[in-house]
Amino acid sequence: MDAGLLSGLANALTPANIGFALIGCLLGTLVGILPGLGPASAMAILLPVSIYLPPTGAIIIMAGIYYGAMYGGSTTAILMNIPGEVASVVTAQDGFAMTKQGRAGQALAIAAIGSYLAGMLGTVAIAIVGPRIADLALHFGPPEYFGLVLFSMTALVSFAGQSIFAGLMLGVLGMWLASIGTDPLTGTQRLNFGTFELMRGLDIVPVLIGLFGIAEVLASLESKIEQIYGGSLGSVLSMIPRGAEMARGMAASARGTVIGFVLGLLPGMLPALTAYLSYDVERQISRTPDRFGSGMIEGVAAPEAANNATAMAGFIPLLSLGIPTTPALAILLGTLMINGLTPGPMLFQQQALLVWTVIGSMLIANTALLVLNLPLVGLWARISRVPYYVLAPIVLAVCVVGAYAPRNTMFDAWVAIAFGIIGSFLRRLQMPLAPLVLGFLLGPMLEQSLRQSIALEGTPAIFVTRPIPLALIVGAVLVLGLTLLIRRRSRAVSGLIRDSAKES
Amino acid sequence: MLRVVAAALVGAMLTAFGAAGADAQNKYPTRPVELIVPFVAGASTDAAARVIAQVLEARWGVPVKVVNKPGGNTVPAVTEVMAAKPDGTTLLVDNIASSAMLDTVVKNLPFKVSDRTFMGIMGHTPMMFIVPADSPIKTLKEASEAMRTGTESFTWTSLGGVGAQDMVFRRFAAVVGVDIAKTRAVASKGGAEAVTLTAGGHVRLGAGTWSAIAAPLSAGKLRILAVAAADRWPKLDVPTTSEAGFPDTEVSFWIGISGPPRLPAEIVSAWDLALKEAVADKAVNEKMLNAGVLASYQNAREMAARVERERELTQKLFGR
Repeated sequence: MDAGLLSGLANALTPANIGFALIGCLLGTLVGILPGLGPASAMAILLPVSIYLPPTGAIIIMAGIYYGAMYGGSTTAILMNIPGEVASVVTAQDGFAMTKQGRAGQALAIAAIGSYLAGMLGTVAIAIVGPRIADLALHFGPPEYFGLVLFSMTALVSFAGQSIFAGLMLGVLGMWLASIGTDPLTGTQRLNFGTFELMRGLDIVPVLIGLFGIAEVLASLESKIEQIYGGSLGSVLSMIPRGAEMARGMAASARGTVIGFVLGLLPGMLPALTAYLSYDVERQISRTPDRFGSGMIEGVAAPEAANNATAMAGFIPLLSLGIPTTPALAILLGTLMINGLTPGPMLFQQQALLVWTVIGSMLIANTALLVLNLPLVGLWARISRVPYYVLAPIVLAVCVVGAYAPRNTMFDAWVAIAFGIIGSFLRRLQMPLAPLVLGFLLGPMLEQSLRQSIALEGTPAIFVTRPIPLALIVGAVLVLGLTLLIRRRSRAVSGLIRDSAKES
Repeated sequence: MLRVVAAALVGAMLTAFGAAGADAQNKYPTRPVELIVPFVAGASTDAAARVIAQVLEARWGVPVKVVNKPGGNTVPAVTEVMAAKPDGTTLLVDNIASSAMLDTVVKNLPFKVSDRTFMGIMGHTPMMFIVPADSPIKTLKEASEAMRTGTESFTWTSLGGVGAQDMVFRRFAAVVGVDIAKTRAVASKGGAEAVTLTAGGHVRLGAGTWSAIAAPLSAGKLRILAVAAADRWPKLDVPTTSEAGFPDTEVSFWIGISGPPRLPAEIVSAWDLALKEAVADKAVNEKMLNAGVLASYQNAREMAARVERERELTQKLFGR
């Protein structure tokens, strides 16, 4: 197996394959930066071109776009609170806070470094463990999913900010919004008010662009800010985190990588979801949970590492079983099939060089991405100082185009604008937005896994008779209880501190 | 002098406009063609469409673009093509779900399925019955036994609502003599998910098309019991459902091209010729097979007849 990796790496280092890797990474980063355009859209556009390329090159480019997008998505999230990817919503929480404190460089740097760590560790894991753990993906059935989704819902509380009630209500609102359109399991129409456009339901991307992109610009224009950050930024070198902060960032990245990788093996596990979960975990284990949301470096490092790790992990079920875990990987599967390559153990045996070349090029691509992104950190950070009257129109235009891109329909552009207005109202009311996105993502998963599980067994007993769902449900209840307890205690403690301060 | 210049200008403009009109009389196509696929990129319909688009681009010398407009049971994509100008620049990559089954799935369609201009079928991919590799069920007959004896707890993969997947199960149940409503349908969002559910051993019987089955099959996670078609799948030693003892269960997901109503005859015949020649080309056959689709040609009239036949079958099976 070692021989395989070395020869694959050697093959990946040929000028042509390096070139493909670089093109893929560049396209991916660009696509990640632009809100709305996700790796799936870019890969779909590139699909016809890939027919003209040699199979190895085609796969390397497509793969490069996929994880390049994970790198790029965090840039606008951190700089302008406008996530380029659904997965970057979480990064924006603390990332943008850091930008407003003039620490955009540090945030961008730790995002790049954390993503690099995740990419490298992920590649190594694929090379070593690879096909053997692919079976995990298959045995995770609907009841196990239900448990996982229920567990993820405890994260709603984490993101709720000050008012748990508001957070939960917004989570429910997100779930409700996701139910608009065609019922995925029976095809019945829901809440479409008789229009065919709503039959398709709301896509997460225009909603995201509206709530975070357009609303952010509207809110900023309203508060008449001149620039996002007006102070001085310092040199590029000073932007790399160091010492204790770096150590904390790297530790958080490592934890995020593990969570992202293990969960990324499961079909249907979106990088966004693992980002949410890893952020939640950081908050739970931190000694200063209340400072999350105001610029904790762990809050940037962990989700970024998690979403990259999930992207890498998705290759294992894809290459060994032909099961795509995300829509973008489904396109990659299409690319493989069109080139006459059927994933599976046969692929590893008959096309060993191709597989190892792709894995080898992952190492190269991740390094290329770090080299590309780190020096640019200084440049990106300076965007936070561009006068807002220049930035705002450009951002708005890109947002509207980005909303149109996923489904090629003007309806989505209108949805984005509508949610932009809704989002700015929510901001004025100081409501947290992250729970809404999480609810939107979790709602369909919860509904589907619940209904499938009941269909399988006939009774809800399946959730307690199988070990994994039971463990996850119990875990969810425990975590919830613990979180509420800690909040009450910390509020009591800070209340006591306030009172004792008044006395003295 | 000015009058001469003005006349010349007007003359030039008229010629330009006239030429634009004459443009349509030149051999079709002269402008880029857009093929709308009502599904996401990467699936077999999309992949087959891209293969054909590539071939036609080379043949006609104009850009032939594939655009994905998924969702809403294919209705938004079909509506867009029905409302497009009948000049052959906007066409639909049609299939059984967006035509024959559509008016049973969706009530109150703003158009009649038969109003569109059928142009030709270019390929099909049959449904195949699958079981997990470690399942005790080894033949379709054993599967029917399991269905008959343990009806109430028999789990199978459904795509919810009306679709080729559900159609093949209903036909199978009808032949076996079991009421499908008494069994346990486990719904999932798409064909790939249904295959994953089967491969993971969560249901007893599943169905899917080659593009979703190929990879888990070669990974040793699935066994194909039978192919629901008139002919066996190439290079596969698996019986057809008729050979396995269950005639009248053939369901194929076919892929073709349709256009807006009242499309001129010369455009239809241009496509007719192009599709016929593409399907006869060996290289195209191979590429489409990679996408999991068997290249096969049926002309516009045959296509319309097929749609009508399947429409009636759908209405009978789904009891509406």
